Amino acid sequence: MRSVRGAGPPTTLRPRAADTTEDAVVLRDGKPDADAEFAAFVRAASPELGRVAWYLCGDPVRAEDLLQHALLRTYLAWGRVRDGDPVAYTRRVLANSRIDTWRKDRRETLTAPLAMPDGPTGDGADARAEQDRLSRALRGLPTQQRRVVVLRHLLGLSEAETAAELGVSLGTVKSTASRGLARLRDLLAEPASAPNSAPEGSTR
Amino acid sequence: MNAHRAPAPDGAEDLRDRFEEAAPVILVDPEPVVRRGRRRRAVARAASGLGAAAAVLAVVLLVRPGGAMTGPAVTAPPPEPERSVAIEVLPGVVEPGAVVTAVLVATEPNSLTFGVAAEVDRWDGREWRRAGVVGLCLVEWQCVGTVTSQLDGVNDIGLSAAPGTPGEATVLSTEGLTEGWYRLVQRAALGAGVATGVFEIRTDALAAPPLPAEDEVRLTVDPVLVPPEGGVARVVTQVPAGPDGTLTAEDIEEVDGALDPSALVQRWDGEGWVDVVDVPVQGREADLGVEWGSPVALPPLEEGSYRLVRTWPGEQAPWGVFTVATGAPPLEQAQPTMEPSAEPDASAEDGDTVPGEDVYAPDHPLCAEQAGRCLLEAWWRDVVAAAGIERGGGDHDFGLLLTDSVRMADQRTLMLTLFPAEAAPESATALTVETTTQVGDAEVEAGRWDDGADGRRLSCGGFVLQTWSTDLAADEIDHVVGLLADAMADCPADVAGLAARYPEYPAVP
Repeated sequence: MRSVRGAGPPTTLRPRAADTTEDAVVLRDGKPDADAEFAAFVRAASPELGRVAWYLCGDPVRAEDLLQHALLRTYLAWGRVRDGDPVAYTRRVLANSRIDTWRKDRRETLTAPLAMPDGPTGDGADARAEQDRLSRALRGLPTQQRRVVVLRHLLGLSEAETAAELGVSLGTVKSTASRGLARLRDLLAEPASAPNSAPEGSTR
Repeated sequence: MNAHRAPAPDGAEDLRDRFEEAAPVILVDPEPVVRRGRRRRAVARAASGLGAAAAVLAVVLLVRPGGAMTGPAVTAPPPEPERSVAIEVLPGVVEPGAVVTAVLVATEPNSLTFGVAAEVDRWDGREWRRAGVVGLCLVEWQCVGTVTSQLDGVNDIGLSAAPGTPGEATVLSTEGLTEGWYRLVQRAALGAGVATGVFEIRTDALAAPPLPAEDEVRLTVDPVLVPPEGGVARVVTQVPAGPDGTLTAEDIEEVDGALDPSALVQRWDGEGWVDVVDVPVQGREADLGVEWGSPVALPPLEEGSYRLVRTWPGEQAPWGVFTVATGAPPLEQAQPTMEPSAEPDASAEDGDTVPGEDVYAPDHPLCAEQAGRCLLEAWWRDVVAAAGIERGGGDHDFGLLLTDSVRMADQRTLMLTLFPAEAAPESATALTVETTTQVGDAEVEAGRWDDGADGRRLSCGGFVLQTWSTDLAADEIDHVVGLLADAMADCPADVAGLAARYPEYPAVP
């Protein structure tokens, strides 16, 4: 799993529910306890999977919701996926989630970052600005293009893996990935948007 | 997990690092997830308990004593209604317990997306009755779908098919199904449509061809459905993940690179595999990943079940199956250099093996459509003849781009690309040049491509010849490139200049 290097402000950090158990897997009658095993998996994998969720939906709070939703699906399939690659399974659920309609269905009204109290200054503010810039650029991609770009380019999956995870053809991945990457670079090259442009999903 | 995944050489490493640096740390407390999951399970179990009670009651009422359901129906089921997408189940008749392959085949354009969850119905002589459900496995997965009473969950992927392009092949076992006719049903997302395919289980059926072991190196053939007239398919090397569950492209490259460049086609006669023909396996296109596979030109074959076997020094030969069936979507027909070497043609200058036909002849219809490719071919034939080089064949020619290869010692290959500088492909700029040498009229730059492969770029007048290799020594490459540079002397300045040398060819647009 990639380490989180110089990550931005940990906007959704939460205390571990049971730090004392860490990643230990409880054995009952000589067999690993499935729930404890799943919990250890979640603790170990959530930084990586959280990043995937953020790439896909572009907002840390939504990303956490999306990840919880995906982890629930993984939990329900745990008996089958525990011996395979549960990270890949959860990532597949994330990638195939209805990231856009799901967002529209949310009842909460999200607050525009501009309406929030001032964040930290200095390096923290710079990191936040970079985070905003990147998430805006990702949200500028059409949904399917974003999925392909995230899996193929930001996670480094092969074209075949990307095709398999999204259930599309290799040709679609090839064309979508190259177009999407070019588009993402264009969006990142654009000057920062006007300060009063509210992000998608915010109150207007 | 993908802990040690080697990022694909996609040129996005800078973005990958930038996004990774900026991504927020999101930690999820597992306890609420587990609690919600337990509640969901409890609800589901309660519901399935009611369902099970109802099912037991139904079985008691409906199933005749002593019969596993009822015996096989005497009358065959009616043909399935024509739909935009159908399922081709192969073989159509199998003995109990055999593994069958299911492929979505479209007869008209559609936007349907199917999952791998499918229903299995059994024909009782009057109507279809549910026999079970199955989570289909893609052939590249390390599994075979099994028919069960309920699915806990399936991989959430989409499958589709377009006319002329069969869907991905999936496999399921008929284990547990008794004699009779069965119908596989895949439902499209959002209830938009359904695809069905019928197969029969008979104890006196010919034994179905076995499938390669999932946990060993094996091959898959894409498409798995091949028309009798043959054509170009792709053979993909499948390598099982290591004990820690990881698998990298390099792992596959290592195996794939050691395989023999030819493959043996064998036919299943119901009892064993019978040799049919050897076919060459072409080199992969330089900028495509190993998962894309290598082109292989399949000759015309009778209907039936076949397998491709590739030799692997010191190891058990990996193999993969395909089916030849009338009605399978046509495949792209092989270029002359990709034909199997069954009937040498004395008229061919470079190994063309289609008797009496040279598709690059000036008056061939292909040259009316692809004048640029034909013009390049004309020059390239002269060049390789002068250089004394044997062509290995290319696999990705279009417009003003010619691909070819040179077979080197120990079954290694030097990939070549020739194109005019005025119509350079995107990859022409990706060479990090380390040295530059003048060879006659040509300038040869040596360096590395973005993916780390050893590269040479030979600029000759208005034309560029590029080479790509990962397993050849520099002097081996330089020897071939030197021969070609000498042979390309008196370089054409541009496409018009080249066209003037071969006036018999159609004008290049």
